[in-house]
Amino acid sequence: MVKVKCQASNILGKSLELSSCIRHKNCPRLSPEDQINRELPPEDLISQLPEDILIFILSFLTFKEAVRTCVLSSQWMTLWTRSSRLDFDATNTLGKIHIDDRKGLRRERRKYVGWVNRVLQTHKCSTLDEFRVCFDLDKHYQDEIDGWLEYAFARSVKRLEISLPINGVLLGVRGPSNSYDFPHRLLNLGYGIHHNIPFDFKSLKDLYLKCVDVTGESIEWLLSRCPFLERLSVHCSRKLGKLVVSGPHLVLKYLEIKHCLKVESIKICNPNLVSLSISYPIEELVVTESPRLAEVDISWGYLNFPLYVFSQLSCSLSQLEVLMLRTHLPKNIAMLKCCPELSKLKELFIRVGAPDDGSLIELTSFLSSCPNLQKFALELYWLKPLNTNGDVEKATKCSLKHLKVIELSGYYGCSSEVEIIMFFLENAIALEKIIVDPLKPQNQLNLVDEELAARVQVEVEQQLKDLVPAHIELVILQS
Amino acid sequence: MASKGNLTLKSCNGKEFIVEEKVAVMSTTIKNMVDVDDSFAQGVIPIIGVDGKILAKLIEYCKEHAEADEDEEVKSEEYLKKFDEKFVDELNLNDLYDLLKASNYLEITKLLNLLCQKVASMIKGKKPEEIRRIFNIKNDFTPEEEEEINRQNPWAF
Repeated sequence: MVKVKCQASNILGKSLELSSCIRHKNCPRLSPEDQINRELPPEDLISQLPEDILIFILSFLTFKEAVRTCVLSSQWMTLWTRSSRLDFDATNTLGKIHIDDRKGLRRERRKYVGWVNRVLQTHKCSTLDEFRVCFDLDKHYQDEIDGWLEYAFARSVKRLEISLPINGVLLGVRGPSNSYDFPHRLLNLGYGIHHNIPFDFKSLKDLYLKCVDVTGESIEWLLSRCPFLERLSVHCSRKLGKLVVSGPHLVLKYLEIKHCLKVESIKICNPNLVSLSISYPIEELVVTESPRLAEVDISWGYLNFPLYVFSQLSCSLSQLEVLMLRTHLPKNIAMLKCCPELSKLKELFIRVGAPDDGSLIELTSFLSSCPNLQKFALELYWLKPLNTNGDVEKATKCSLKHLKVIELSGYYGCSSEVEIIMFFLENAIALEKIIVDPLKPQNQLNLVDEELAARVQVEVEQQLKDLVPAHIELVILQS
Repeated sequence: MASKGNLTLKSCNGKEFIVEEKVAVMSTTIKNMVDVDDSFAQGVIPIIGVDGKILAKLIEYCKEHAEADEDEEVKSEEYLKKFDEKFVDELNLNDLYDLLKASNYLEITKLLNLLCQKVASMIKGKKPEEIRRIFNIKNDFTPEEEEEINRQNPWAF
């Protein structure tokens, strides 16, 4: 949401200057004749707006919807071609292709590539605020995607996303040597000093690469040449081994290195870094001289909790304000109780696979390390929700004097969840608000069973109203 | 003349509005005028090409937002959201266009965003003929031309 607003004001900055000049010169309309004209049959006034406003309006539509306005009239026909956002996100179409339909996928890939190429031939804007490619594409399309990247960089792209995961597969990582390679050629790596690059990368602020094989060397090169790069996300690169993010000139605030299976070491020494998102295993993680680092997001899938993360992050633990933990197994979380005190931590978010039988109460053992916590959010995702009605266990006491808000999503109302609520009711003396997002039961095809969902909603509501005292605000989100 | 801390804005059809400076400078254009030339702060600021009715609307919007920026307690985000919704819902098409142009000229970024979002929401999910009907856009393509565009189909793959 915030992001959209931010981009909008960028576009605005440009269009405003232009349009206000236009406006000064021939500040028309609103003359008495105009007022009279309005009584006449309806006029096409929208098409009389300055083009910059119309283009800005199009920026609030999806790219496809914006392009579709070309059929409205001859004036609208080319408006979209001046849009500074090119968003080729066709993940919706991917969802319609069956995972095993290889032939169908090949056909859609060819169509997708043709679509992008056609649009790029027609497009006219000389600078790009955003360029997104989101589809299941592999190494076969290396040349085409290279060309798209050149197109985007040549137009001083600010936000670039290349996301190429395999359709319908968790994480979407491709087999070795089957992924698209981020082109060394573009970066002049290995081509000697005399090879000229036609662009300077200086506008890039936000780079997101998923299932693109990019090396640590390429990323370091980009970091050194992109003076305004604030956000960098690399997901599922098979070629990322070692990465050093270091230098006083870096303005990088958000760094995400996730599910890069070959990653050996990440060394960070970055005065402006605010947020770090990583997934384990990482053999070596060194964070030094990053005094602003306040948000850390750690996921470790089915692995045992990587206890060494605390020593790896030891320099930053005392300054953390927001911590997010993601795992498939709740028993892993119990190991967190060895964590040193997180004295500044205000928000804790835990996303965990819910056990089909066991208790979740061990999650709370970690909370004694967070004495100043203000908000706790727990997101449960179930493999098979069971309506267990086992005994409600009591957790050990723990003082949470500052905790005001708890948020539970994926709530199903079984005893393991009631335990959690009871724990907070007893230990968080200043609790003001409980937000619950009830689980929407799904079948294997990810279709929501509406009837069952409605029943869960009613049951959860009844249960919580009985449980939560009146002075605490209870918000149950509607499905 | 406006008292200290207030500015006088004059519409193109001669209507004068005395507004608090913090409200008026929600407009970057007015802010720049006042910053550069002190005489604007003392005298009357002409708002070229914006009539009294539209100027009153602009001031209504800026007043709510300036007060909210000053004191979040009194006017919460939620309150502003509701105000914005009501504000755009009550506009007819002509006023919407006039406000779009005025907020663009006066550089009231938040309002321009809001209005453009409103127009976009009127386009979203609709068929071309519905969009043409809503905005009175005249289809000036010959059937052959229209067919050609549909054949090229640049929005789909």
